[in-house]
Amino acid sequence: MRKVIPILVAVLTGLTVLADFFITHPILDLVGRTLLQWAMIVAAFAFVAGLLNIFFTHTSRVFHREKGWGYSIVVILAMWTVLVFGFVGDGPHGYVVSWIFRYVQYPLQATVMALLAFFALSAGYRAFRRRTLESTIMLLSASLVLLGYAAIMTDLWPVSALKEWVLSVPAMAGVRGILLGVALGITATGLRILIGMDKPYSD
Amino acid sequence: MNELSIAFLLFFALFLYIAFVEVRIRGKPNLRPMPALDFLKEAFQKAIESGRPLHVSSGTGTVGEKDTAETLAGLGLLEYAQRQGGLYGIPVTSTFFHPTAMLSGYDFKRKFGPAGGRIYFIAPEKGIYAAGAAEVLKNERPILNLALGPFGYEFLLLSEAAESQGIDQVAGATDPSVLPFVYSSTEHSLIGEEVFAAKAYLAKEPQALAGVIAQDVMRFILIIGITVGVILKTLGVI
Repeated sequence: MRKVIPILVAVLTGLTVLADFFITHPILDLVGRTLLQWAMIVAAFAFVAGLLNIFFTHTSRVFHREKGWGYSIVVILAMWTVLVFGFVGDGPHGYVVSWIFRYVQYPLQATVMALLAFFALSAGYRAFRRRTLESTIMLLSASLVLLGYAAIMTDLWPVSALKEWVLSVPAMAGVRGILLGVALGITATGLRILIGMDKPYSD
Repeated sequence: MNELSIAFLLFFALFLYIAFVEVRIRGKPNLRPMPALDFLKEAFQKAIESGRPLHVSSGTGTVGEKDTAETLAGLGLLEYAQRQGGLYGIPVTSTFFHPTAMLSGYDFKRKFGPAGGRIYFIAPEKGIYAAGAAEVLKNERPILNLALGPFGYEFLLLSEAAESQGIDQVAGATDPSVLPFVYSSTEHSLIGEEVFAAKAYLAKEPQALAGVIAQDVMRFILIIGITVGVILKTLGVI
């Protein structure tokens, strides 16, 4: 019974939400919407577990003086600061929390993401050093498209036309093939859970 | 259009069930080789010998939103890694982007026995997650970085951090705009639908293998449908 009830709940919930997607009916709409709201509430509780994980993991790193423990102190302090100011005063949309996000988090995030261009370059260089047929094709097509986007080349017929062809024929065909495969993979994963074959929600 | 979608789903479910029964009766079907997954088995052996941990990332997705299936594929691989870890004493360190996925990490650890290795919830922000996971790679020096699931451009941050530490990598993603980064930054990559097939190859569970077979059957039906549609459109019939 311990195994059957969770499977029944999961299958019935999944089928109801799926039916709500396809069929327009006031009762089904209400049930589907309510189930989705419940799922959102349950997911919100997972954040409490996440918060506890951050606190205990980093506290343990500090106590055991593990490599990089100083950063753990910063993480714990930042966590408590945002949490405390999120609960008191103007809440999560108040001045202090907004200031922290606007002047600390967003600039740091932008800085990290700005490194991507350099990482892409070094990753590309490594790929081309492999000297396989695939990496050669990648090198040629990437160079062609880059050249095609250069201002000086936009009016140069063969480069510009070749760039357009690469983007709209082989690249597009590849992307559509991949997307089709991914869509089938997603559907198979969903159906396996819906008909109770797979039980990722444990025993 | 709704009727067509429902018919497609019903056919898919039917093929899935038939494939499941077939696999249970006849056993594992012949699957095409996937070098990235063969390398993964080698990496597990190296981990046993070296005693160094494995790092598993299930991507920057959420259980319960549109990238649930990809996240579950990543979690499937984490489950396999934890199972192997429990059997052979390999520590498995996992980092999580979202707490809904993290809960599964705890569940696998509970089920397959703690062989060491930590569970880190980093942050539900992609760039921050990648920076945090990169720091975990630097501190824990795992022997393998196994990153499979929904990833965006932040994938590069994670994979380049692993590369700079000389850590072997097996990675996979489904977003076509990220796949060039996956291919170029890792030697052993899984592209698109291969992400969903990984668990079937490794764990050899009948339901996962049935999923691979059903996907192939539906793919053939779609190819035939597209070809017939192109011919009919060219002839002006539709």
